[in-house]
Amino acid sequence: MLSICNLNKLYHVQEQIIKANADISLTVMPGEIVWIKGNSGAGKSTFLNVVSGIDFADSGSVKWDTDEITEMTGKQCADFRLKKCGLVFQFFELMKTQNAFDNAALPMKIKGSTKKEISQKMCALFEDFEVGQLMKKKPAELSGGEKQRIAIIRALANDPVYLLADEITASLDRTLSEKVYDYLRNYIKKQNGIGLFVSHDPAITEYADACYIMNDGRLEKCI
Amino acid sequence: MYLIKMAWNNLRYNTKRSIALILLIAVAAGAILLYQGYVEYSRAGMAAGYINSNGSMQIALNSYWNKAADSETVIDAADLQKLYRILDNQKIISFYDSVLEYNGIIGNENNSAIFWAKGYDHPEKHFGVSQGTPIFSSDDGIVIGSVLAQKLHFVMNDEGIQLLSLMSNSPETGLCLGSFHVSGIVDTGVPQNDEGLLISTRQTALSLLNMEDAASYVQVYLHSNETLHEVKKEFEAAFKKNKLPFSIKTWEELNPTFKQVNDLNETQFFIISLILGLLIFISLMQTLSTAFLERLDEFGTIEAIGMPKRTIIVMLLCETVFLILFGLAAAGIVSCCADKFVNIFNIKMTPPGYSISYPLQFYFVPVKVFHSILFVIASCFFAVLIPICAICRNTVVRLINHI
Repeated sequence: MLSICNLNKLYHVQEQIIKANADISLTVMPGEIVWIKGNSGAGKSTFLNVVSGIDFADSGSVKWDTDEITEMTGKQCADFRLKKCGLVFQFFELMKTQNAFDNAALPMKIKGSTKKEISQKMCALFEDFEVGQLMKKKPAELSGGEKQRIAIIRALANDPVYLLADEITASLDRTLSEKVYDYLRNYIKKQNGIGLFVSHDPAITEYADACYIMNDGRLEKCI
Repeated sequence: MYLIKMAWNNLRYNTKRSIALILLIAVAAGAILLYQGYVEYSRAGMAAGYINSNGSMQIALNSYWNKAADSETVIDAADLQKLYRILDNQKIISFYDSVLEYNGIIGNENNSAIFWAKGYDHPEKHFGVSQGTPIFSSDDGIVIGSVLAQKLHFVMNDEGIQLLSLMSNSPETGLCLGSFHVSGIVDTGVPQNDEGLLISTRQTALSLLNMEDAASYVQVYLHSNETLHEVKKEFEAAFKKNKLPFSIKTWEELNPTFKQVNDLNETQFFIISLILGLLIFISLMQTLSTAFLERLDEFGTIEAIGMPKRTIIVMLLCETVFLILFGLAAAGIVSCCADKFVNIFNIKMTPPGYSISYPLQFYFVPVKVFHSILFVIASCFFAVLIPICAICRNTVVRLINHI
């Protein structure tokens, strides 16, 4: 279960203080996918960053089952993400110099998986996402949609229980978007995990268990 | 282990940049070795030149150094024998030679000039010749300096015996004259020396001056000049014990200009070394730190995936160690190849005030190589401190968004 309580995140821009996330409280039950939408600059990405521990909250708490993110050290946070949390970034953040296979396998390499384990896992995921022929290609040789799928594979490499994705289907067509959402929903249900998806894509409607809208840093439930 | 593998892979993924960095390190280390070679061989070459022509030390009568007008400055036969007995017992001595100095006027049908001569028992060990043949201990010819030959309009040729007349003043018989055949012409590299230089055997000198066995001083060559001052003290003690009126001057005391020239060179070298060091330091700092700084977004992504900052820093240091190791290996190869290149193409340098050139050399002396390596390693690690600070200071999000 994810419990977020009174989460605040401020940005200091010159002499101005901007509330990127203001008093956010949220509870997500295991097996649920939460869709967060909102205007650009509303604080959606910041919210994902803070709950995943790659940015610090100014106040409040973020508890993933027994793991309290706001009380963790940097090392504990990194370990939490490596083992339990998969992240898909808005701009993919693939290593320019590494090919698709190496990019996707990076979490497994960091975790210390064997070559065989990596190979088996990657082959399966690359096939699932229909990018098996792109393994040797560098990010510069891939289209936006292909990069997006490699980034998703990377997020799933270590079988995370929690999946946080920022505009996961922005570069995919409708059919592919639905395939991806379907795959991820099944994955979350199977893992009894939690999915937090920031998206503008209406295709997610059918796959999300709950929908929230971010308005100037405030998270409100959509009816 | 996986960190080392990841560091290695990172270098492999950035092949062009890694090769450029390795080359930079190699060239930096090579440049330091080459410049140190220039500095050290200039100094050592100058010292070797002095020692070769003057010996590690010279032993003469006290009055020889004082140049007292009314006192005897030449060592007689009896004192020479006593001195030889002391020198023969010293294992540190590689060789010694008695020298008789004389001077006067030298001339031919074209011109005449002043000369200053030295008669050696083994002249061939001190001077080679640029033209003709050197004189050996049994020869009765002479060798003259290149500038002196020009003054006399003397040209070496193979046609018969070429004679020059000498006029000198003997302490025993007064004015003395003689004609000697010229065996060769010597070029010491210092034009001022060659202006009046004349070399003969000591026997030739003694016969011109109508003297029995005598020498102005004895030149002593040591196996190693590191113990020069200790040996000098030992000899002084021996002379005192045997009540011999000798005193000793080391090659440094005999050539006060060496210290001045050396000090001047050292100052120049220090300033140039400082500039070279700064250039290498800045270029290594700039290039290496930029190469890592432009990958900050990668490090941010890696941290977001789940690698702690400390591990990323260790990985960065591993990459640096790899670069240094490959860079230094490449430096060794580059230096050896460049050394061979210099030797094959006979690339030379001419130290200030010299007319003779010496080959450029890389300075492969363990201590200096170690210093160069240390400097390169320190510069590289300083360079890595900048990205390390950036990684430590910034959150993952800021690292990912770093441009």
